[in-house]
Amino acid sequence: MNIKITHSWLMEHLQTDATPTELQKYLSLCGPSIERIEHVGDEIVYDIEITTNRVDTASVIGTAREAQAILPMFKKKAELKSLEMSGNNVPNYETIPLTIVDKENVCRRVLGVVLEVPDGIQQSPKYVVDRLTACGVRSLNNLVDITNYVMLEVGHPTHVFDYDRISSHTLILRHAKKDEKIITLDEKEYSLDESDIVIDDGTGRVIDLPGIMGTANSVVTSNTKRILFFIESNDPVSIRRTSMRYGIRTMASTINEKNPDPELAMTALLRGIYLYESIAKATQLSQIIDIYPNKPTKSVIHTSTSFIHKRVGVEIPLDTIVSILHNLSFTVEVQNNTELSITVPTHRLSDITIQEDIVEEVARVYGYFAIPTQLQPPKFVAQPHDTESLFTYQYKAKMFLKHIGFHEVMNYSAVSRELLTQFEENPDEYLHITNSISEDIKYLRQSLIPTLVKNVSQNSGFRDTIRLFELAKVYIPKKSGLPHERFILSIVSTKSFDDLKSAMCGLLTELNIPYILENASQHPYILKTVMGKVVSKENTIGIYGQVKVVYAARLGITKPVYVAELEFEPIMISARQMPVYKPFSQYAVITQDITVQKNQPYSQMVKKIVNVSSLLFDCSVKDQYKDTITLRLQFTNIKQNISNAEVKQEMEKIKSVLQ
Amino acid sequence: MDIDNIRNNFIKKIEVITSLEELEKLDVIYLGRSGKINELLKGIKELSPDKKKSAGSSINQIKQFITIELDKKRTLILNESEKSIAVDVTLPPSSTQKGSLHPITIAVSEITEIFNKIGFIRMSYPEVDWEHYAFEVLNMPVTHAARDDFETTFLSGSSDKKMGKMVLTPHTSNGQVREMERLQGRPPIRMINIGKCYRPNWDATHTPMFHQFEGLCVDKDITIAHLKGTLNFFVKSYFGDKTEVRLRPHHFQFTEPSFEVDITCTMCKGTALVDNKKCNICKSGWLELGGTGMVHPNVLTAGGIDPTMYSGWAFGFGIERVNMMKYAIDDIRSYYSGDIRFLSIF
Repeated sequence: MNIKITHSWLMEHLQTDATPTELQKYLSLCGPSIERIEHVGDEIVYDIEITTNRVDTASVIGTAREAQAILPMFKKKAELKSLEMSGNNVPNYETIPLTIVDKENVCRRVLGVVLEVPDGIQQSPKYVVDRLTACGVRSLNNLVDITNYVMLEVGHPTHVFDYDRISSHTLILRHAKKDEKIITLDEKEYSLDESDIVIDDGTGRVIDLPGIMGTANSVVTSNTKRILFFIESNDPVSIRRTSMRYGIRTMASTINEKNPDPELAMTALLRGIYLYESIAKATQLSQIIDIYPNKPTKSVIHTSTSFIHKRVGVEIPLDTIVSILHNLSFTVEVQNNTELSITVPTHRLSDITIQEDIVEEVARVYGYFAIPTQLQPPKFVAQPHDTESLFTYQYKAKMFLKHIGFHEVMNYSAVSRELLTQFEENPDEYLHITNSISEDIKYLRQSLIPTLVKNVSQNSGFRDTIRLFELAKVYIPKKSGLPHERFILSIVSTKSFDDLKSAMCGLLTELNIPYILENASQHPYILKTVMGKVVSKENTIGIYGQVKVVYAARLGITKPVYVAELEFEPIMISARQMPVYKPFSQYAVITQDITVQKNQPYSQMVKKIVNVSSLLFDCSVKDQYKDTITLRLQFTNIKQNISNAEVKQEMEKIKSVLQ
Repeated sequence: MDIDNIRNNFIKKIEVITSLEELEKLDVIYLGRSGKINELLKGIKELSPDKKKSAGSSINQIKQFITIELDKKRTLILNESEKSIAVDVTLPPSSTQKGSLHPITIAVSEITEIFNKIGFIRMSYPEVDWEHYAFEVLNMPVTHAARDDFETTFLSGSSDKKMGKMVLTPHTSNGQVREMERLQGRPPIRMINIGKCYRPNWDATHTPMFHQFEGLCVDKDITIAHLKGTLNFFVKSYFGDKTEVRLRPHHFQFTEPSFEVDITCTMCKGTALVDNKKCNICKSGWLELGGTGMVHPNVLTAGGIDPTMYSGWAFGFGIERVNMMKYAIDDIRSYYSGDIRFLSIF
C-alpha cells in the first residue's frame, strides 16, 4: 500500500535539518520508500510505499520515528516531538450508559468513549481540510475528519458513531449471520457471510462492519450532539477476507489487515479525544472503556555481533549496532561485548521475531550501500545431463526454425472452452483454472495445435503465408497428483505440405536424429489422408499432416493448414551435436534411375531397397508421373571400385522387391 | 617469306575480330596442335643445320608476337564486355525470408549465459505445483494474502492432504525447496530457475502469464555482500558496465532481510534528465528491477538445510520487465497475443 503525508505535518512531530529531498533519499535507502514528492496547494506531499510488515510506518508519526533512526546516519539532526493527547479515566466521571461486549473474542482490543459535541457537525479547520485533501482523503465534516486525521497521524484506524442513534447504548461484537443484510455509510447494501464480523446494538440490528466501514444507520448526522469515539483492534485475516469478499477497500481496512499494534489504539484514542476537544469543543461524558484481554507479551531476541557480521558480510562496530537499535526503539543489553539481548518495541512485535530480523534492522540503517560488493567463492554444482540437453537442444531447435524463416510464438498455457469444442475435445478431461479471470484462458493445453491454428486464423489478414512454431509444455492430467508436464514442439505452415515437411525433416537432420516417415491414422486433429508420423529408433516421436478442413473452417480458415507436433523429450535424448560418423567412399559412385508403379508408400520402398542392397549409398525421388515414381539410386563401395556388373545385380534385386 | 605472310595475315585477321569465340578460333588456327606455327616448326626438320638455327629463332619470335597480340585482344574484348554488366546493387536479395525468436527466448538465453559464467546451473521445475512448494515451504502460511483467490491461480485437480491445492505457480520460487530437496539438503546450491508464472491480473501492465528468473545460492557463510556482488555482476553483464545497482529495504515472506533492487535508469543513465527534461521512465534516476533477499531460515529448514550452518540469497525478477528496461519493449500485452506483426520484429 501507499500512503501520503505532508511535510508540514511531519515537521509537527519531527525536529530535523534535513530537506524534503534529503528525507526522500535517505528514508528510501534505509527505510520506507518515498516514491514521489508532490506539491498540492502549499503542501509538500510525500508518497510513501508501505510494505505489509511495516504498517507501523503507515502514518506521520511512524514516518517520523523512522526518520529519527535513519537521518543521524547521514549526519542529520532528527528528534521526535511529543504528541499532545487528552482524556482520562477517573472513576467519578458523570457516566452515561455504554456497554461494549466481545464474548466471542473477535477483537484483540476494543476502546470506546462518549463525548459531547455541543456544536454538532461543522466544517473542519482549514489545516485539517488541507492536510486530508493533500493526503488523498476527502474532508466531510469535523467529526468524521478527526477519525481520518488520527488514522493518518498515529497509524490506527478509528471510528465515530452518533451515540444517540444507538438507542440501546450497547455494542455487541459478533460473527454475522448467513445472508444478514447491511447498508454501509456509502449507501451500498451487502449480504454477509458467517465469517464476517459485525457490531450489533443488542437488538439484532447491525450498526457497523468493524475495521472496514461504518453503516448508514449509526453514522453522525447534522443532528448529532453526542458521539461514541470507537477503536477496535481486529483480527487481520478476518478483515482481509471480508474486505476482499465485498470489494470494500478502505484505508482503514488496508491498515487493519496488516496487523497494527493494539497498543497504538490507546494512543489513537487519546489523540482523538484531544482533537475533538480542541476542534469540536468536545467534553468527555463517559469513562474510557478498554477491553483488552490478551496484552502482548514481552519479546526478547538473542543474537551476537558475530552473527550479524556473518550475515551482512562486513563488521559493524558494536556501538553502531546498539545505537541503531536504540534509535529504532529497541532496548539492548550487551554481554561480553558480543552477546545481545534485544527487547522488541510493541509496534514491531509482529515483524521482528528472529535474529535475521535484527540483521535487517541493523544493516538497513547502517546502509546497504555501505556493504561491500563481492561475488561468493565459486563452487561447482553439476547440472543434470538431461536438463542440460533439454535447454541446449531447445535453443538449437528454435534457432534452426528461425533461420529457415519460421516465427516463434508463445501462447497462454490455457485455452477457452470454445476452442476445445471447435476441436471436438471434451473439456472435462482437461485441468482447468477454477478462479480464471477470463474464459479465454481456462483449460490447460494438452496439444499446441489448436492455439497455433488459432494464431493462423488471427494473422491471416497480415501475411499471405503463415509459418510459426511454439515450444511449450502441455499438461496431461493424471488420476492423482500433479499433471504430467511435457515439452512439445509444434510447427505450422500454410505455405505447403512440402514446406512443413522440409522444416520438420530439416530440424531432425540438424539435430542428427535418424528418422523415417510413415503413414499414420491416430491424430484427432489431422486429416486421415494427409497424416504421417515420424519414427525414430522404432518410437513415434511426432505426427504431422493437414489440419482437418472442418476444424480449420470453424476458425474461419479456408486454406490448408499443415502442422507437425513433436515430443521434445525423445528429440532431446536422440539429438547429437555431430552425426554418427560414416567415412565417405573414395571410390566411384554409380547412379541408376528406376521407374516403378507407385503402389506403396515411399518409406516402405526405401525399407525394402535398403534390406536387399548392400552397395546402396543413397536413394532419392527423381520424379513422379501419374502412378509411377522414378527413384535415383546411388551405389558405391567404401573399400574398392564397383563394377557395372555388380550394380546390375543390385538393380535386379531391387526391381524384384519393388514389384 | 612464309613468316612475313603469316604475320601480315594474322594482323589483318585479328584487327577485325570483336568476339571471344572468334579470337579463340584464331588462337587455334595459329597456335593449335596443327596450327600454322606448328606447321612451320615441322618444316624446320628438312633444313640444313645452320639454317635451322635462324629459322627457329624467327618462328619463336612470331609465336611470341602472336601470343602477346592474342592476349592483348582478349583483355580488350573482356574489358569491353564488362561495360555492359551493371545492376542496382542496392536491390534487396530475393530470399529475405527471416524468421524470429520470441523476445523471451532471446532474454532467457542471455540470462542463462551470464549466470553460467559464475557457476549457476539452470534447472526446470513444474509450472503446475502444490501449494506446499508455492507457499507453505516459502514461509507463507495459509492465511497469507498471496494465497488468496485474487492473487493465485488455482486448478481443478484434486488436492493432496499434505501438499494442499494444485496451483499454477505464481512465481519461480517453487523451485527453491525443490532444488534443496534434489540436492538432499546438501549445499552448495547455485541455481537459476527460469519459467512461466501465472497470476490473475490482466491489464495494460500485467498479463496473466509471465516469465521469471530465479536465482538461489546456498552455502556456508553466504552474506548480503555476496548478493550484492552477484547482482552487480548480472546487472553490468546484462545492462552494461555503466549501470549501477542499489538495494532498498523491502519485505518478502521467504527472505529475511528482504530488498528491492534498483538499477540506474537505462534511459537517462541515472541522471533523471533527458535533454534537460525530467526523464519520464524512471523515478529519480532509478528503475525497479525486482525483489531479492537472504533466504529465510524457515525456507532452508523446509528444504532440509540447517539454517545455523548455512545461509543463502535468492532473487526473482521478471523477464518481461528486464526486456522492457533493456530493449524498451513496453507493450507487454503483445508478448502472448500471437500477433505476427509483433513476433516478426525480433
